Amino acid sequence: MPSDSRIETALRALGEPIERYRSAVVTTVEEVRGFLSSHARQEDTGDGTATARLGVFAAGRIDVERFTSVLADEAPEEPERLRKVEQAYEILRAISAGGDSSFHVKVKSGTRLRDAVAARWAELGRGFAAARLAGLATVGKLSANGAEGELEPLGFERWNPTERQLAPPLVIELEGADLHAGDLAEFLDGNVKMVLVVNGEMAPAPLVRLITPSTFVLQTAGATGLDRFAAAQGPAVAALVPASAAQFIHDPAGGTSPGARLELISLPAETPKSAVGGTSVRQQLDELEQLKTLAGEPRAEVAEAEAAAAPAAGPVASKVDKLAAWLLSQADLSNVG
Amino acid sequence: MATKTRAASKKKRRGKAAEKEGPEVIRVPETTVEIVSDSGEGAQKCGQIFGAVCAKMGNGAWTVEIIPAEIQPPARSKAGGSGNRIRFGTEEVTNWGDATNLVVAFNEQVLLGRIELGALAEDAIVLLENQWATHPDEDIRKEWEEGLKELSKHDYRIIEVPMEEECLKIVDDTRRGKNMFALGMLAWIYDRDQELIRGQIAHQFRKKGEDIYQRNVELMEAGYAWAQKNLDFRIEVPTVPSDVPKVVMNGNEAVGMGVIAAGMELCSMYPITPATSASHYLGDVFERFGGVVHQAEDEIAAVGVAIGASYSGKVACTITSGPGLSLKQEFLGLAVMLEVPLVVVDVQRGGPSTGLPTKAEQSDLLTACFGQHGDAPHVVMAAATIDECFHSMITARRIAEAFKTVVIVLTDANLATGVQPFVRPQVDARWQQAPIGLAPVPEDKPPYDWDPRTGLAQRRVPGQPGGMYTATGLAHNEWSKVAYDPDSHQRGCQMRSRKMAVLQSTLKPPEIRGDDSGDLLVVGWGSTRGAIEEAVDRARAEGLSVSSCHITFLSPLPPGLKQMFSRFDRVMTVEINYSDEPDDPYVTEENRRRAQLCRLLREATLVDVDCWSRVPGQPLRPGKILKAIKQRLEMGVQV
Repeated sequence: MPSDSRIETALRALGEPIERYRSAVVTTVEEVRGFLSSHARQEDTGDGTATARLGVFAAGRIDVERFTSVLADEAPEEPERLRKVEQAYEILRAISAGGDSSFHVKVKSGTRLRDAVAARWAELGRGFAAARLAGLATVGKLSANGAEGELEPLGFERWNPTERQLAPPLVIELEGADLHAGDLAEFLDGNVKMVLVVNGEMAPAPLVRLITPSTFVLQTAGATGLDRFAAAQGPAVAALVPASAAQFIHDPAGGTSPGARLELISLPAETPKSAVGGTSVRQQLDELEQLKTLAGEPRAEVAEAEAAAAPAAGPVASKVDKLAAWLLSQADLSNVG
Repeated sequence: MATKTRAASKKKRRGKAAEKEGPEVIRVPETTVEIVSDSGEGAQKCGQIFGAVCAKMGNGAWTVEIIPAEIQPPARSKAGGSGNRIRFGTEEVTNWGDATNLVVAFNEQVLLGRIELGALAEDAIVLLENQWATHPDEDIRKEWEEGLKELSKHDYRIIEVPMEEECLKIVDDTRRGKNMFALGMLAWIYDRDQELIRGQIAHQFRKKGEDIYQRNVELMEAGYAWAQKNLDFRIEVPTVPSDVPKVVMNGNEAVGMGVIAAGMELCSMYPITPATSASHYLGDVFERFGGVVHQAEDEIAAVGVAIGASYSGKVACTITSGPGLSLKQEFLGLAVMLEVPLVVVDVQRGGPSTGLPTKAEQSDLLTACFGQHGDAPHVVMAAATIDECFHSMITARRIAEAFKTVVIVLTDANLATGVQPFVRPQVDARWQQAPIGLAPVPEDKPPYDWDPRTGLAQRRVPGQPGGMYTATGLAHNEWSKVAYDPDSHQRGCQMRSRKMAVLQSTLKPPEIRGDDSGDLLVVGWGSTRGAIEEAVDRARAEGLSVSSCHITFLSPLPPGLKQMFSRFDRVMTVEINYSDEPDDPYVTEENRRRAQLCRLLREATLVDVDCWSRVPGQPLRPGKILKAIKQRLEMGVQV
């Protein structure tokens, strides 16, 4: 399957969360626009805001001008505050106008997956920062100089639970050698959805490291399981992988035991024979063994596969692994205690 | 089964609907209908749906729930009647009127109970369940016969309806069916839109499932068909559909919506009749708007939680009724002393003590104004209509925050359960804005940095840079330090009191309905407005020189009252709380106990304000107010 069509497939699978995120942004844009227009009117009508704040019940009963004049501590919205809200509005508008490319990240070969994902979410997180600021302004709690007025990129680690539920989904395109699944673990919260589109050689089952009871994890060579991925409640990560990789679905809705949740579709025809990126053969075998264990397969097969994978040189195959093994053999650990 | 028609009058009555001629159509500008049953038979639900449909069709409407004093009163008892009274008309309806024109009664005992209360018009039409005539219990058959004898002494038109028999064709338990059958009869008689009725039934039973909905619709249609086949009259109350979008709700729902619209974040309360349904409503929806309903362990804790939330910068309220207000008084004094904004809603019921929990009264005015020990000046205002139950919440919050004090909003059981259509509020985001500035507070600025002219000080919230201070209910100085010296307490009291004078200076004099001067000015407050204004309008139509004004702010009172009163020969309040009549035994000019607003007005204006008040446990009727107006006018000049 060519890369472009797999990205289209991934974006289709993420259609619902993308729509939900866009809808939330558009709604916020409208609210902020209403706020700004109401404050623009205030300048035209003098005490418009004071009248509005007192409500309909006060009409004919309270002299608004007099009421306002005795409340010295209540000044109208300061220009600095309004300027901040206007900035927030522009950020939200730009985000709402962004196309599908906003949700597509291409990891540069040889760089960290984590850094690419964190940077994109921090950028999209500016929308959350803008919404927070507008919310404070709406309820009159925004100060002109306070830190709550920051409109900088807002990293995932600073998103609150509600924002994590609304997390913008991502399609992440990367080389198999750069797929270190552990990089994604910190982001699996709320309703986060990610689809990895993997090119080139890769370890057979890297995503097995992301399996936790409430995380939906999918490795598929075609479109199998993407419908369930799209419908999953809670954090979910899928990888569109070459046919040579393991294929499996871990669906939290399947049950309470790992075996009930994990559906093993296929294992690689060949056992790993060389390291991929920084992932050693040993690590790859461990991932496969973990996959089989979780799926409830007998350990004997894993042992056989391990033996077949390294008949002469043991588990050490690549230059890097050989060096590591030598260093270990040279270390005298007898005095460690 | 054939319809039996009993009428004591000599008017010609037609029996079964004449198939050729069709029913007689009686056209009226307004009418009043009651549905009354034993408790648990659903007459209230029937009335609520009927009232809502009338309002949605474009009629003005006002409904009043008929609630027995006991939770489960004995069946077939005069005092156990439960139901709904719906007054609706072509024009706006502002009160429950004088008498019922048509009643559907599920047994003769609850009907007799209503008659004893004077609820029915002399020529009322009665649709009466007749299963009791053949009931297996001989005592019940005897009661039925005696009841009918009693009814025959009146000029009612009584139509016996085999509700039990008809409903048994559809359901096994007619206690859960007659109300919809009755609704169907009313739908035919008043030509109500059946689609709207189905919609209301669907809304009413939205949590019960499709089967229940279908069964209720079937019962309603059976009632409609029965009336079509057997009744020889219909009543037409022309509707005036409006382009202005309206909403239909009761006063407690309106309070709940107002709490949300005002941007409140916490409603802390303890269940108490008749206020509880406001918290039920909020409990269903408040969280969707970021709010929390906290049910505390008692009334005192409820107000304490609200004060704590407000102290920490949240927008908080508590909702209660008379006995609850009594229990909260010490904490209300604390809120005044701390200068913490707080909105308190008191849905008044009959008192004192547990009094009349389900009945309407306006007896809490003085306790709302003066219930706290020591000097605790705060704001008291009253809602007069259902829509004011909504809108008053926004204004109350604003005043509470602007003046950092307690605002008590008085409604009552009449408003709480009454339903009235009103123009759908256009919610404004600015209602939810808080006046709290989170800008750092200079270190040299004390927490009670009273402006000596206004008594106002900037609100402090824990967490605000420079805003930390120790709050205390003990007498304190401007640094919130406990201070027993004479000057500090005097100054604190002075500053808290000053705020009331400042608020009063921003109020406008109330508007007069009618002429600016004349023989009599009728003054009211709260839910009596509709009945008073209707009575005054009738009096004016008869050529009497009467005007009225309705007071919303009760503490502080609005300015200009003395001047206003001076233009009338007599001034009289009309209220639903107790007062002695001037000619009662032992009652003299000196010892006469007057109605509560009357006392406030006399004190504030030094005008010899008179009063006419009753405590019937029901809303006042315009006809009775009109009678009192005429009686006072015969007494001549007083002021």
